[in-house]
Amino acid sequence: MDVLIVDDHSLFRDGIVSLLEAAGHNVVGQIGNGEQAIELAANSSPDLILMDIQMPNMSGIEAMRRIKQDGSGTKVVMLTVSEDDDDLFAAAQAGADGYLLKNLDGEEFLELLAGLSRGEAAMTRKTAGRLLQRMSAAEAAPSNPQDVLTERESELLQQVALGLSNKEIASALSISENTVKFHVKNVLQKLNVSNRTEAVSVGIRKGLIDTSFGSPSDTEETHPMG
Amino acid sequence: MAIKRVALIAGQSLLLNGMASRLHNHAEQIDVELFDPNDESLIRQLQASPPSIIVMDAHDPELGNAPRLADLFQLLPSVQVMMLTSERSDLHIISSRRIDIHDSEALFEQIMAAV
Repeated sequence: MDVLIVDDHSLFRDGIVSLLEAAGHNVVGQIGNGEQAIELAANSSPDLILMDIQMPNMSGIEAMRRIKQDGSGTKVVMLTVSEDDDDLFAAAQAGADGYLLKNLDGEEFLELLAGLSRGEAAMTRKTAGRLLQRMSAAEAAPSNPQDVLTERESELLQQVALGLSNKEIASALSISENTVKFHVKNVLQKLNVSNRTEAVSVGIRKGLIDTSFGSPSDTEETHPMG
Repeated sequence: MAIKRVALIAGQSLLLNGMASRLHNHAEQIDVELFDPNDESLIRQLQASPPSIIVMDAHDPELGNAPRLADLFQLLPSVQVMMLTSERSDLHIISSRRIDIHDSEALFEQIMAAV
């Protein structure tokens, strides 16, 4: 594999170059910061980039994000001392092809890199376990309603806050009354409330409703569901 | 010039594995050997052919299984221990020498000479 090494620890880089070359890989370049790595990656077209996370000027995760944008298909494996789950999760979200800690045995390191060509992620089982745990925790966490409500539902909630009836909302949004009922039902479900007043209250508290359009007191009337 | 023996005690350290690989290029001047800190016979092996230098990675998670520095210096009074770390490009050198002293005044003199 043609490999580019990005790490601000020059001694570490030197050792990794030696390990990789001894294992038959071709090191096409090495650099100590993320910004220059982007340029070097574009010029040297490596198959694999080993990228540290904590570096001056630009983090390895940001550099990887930019390198991945060019669509070249270069694999990027984070090689770091960071056991912080936030770094691991951020790297995975940014598209890392692996996450390896520097406290690895040399043989294990080379074996995990070899797995990349078989379509495997370069990470130990322990790291994979941490990532899965973090991902399932993120799934289980209550979502931000602002992210969950569709644009139409947000629009509708705004109208509900103005105290409009279903018929009036239908007219204001140029949709049928049945569609309004459908959206209202969804909004109540997503906000986990049982009526419009509660929906408005939660909406205001969560910043989903622009209160500059009308007084919340206009919304005190509770409309029948559905 | 006699070839110096260098012992790299590495459990889980890419840094030391890399250094071992690199230092083998200087085989005409140094004899580099990689040791496993979990190896029960490590002390015996070091005693059998004492190294001049011992290199370790301060962040090696298995370093806790290696002999304590005090034990190493007891065993190899003139050895130098070099500590590397994956976080910084620096080298921490810990050296040892043995001096006979027989009273507190001699100890005091050594303390003053050292500071």
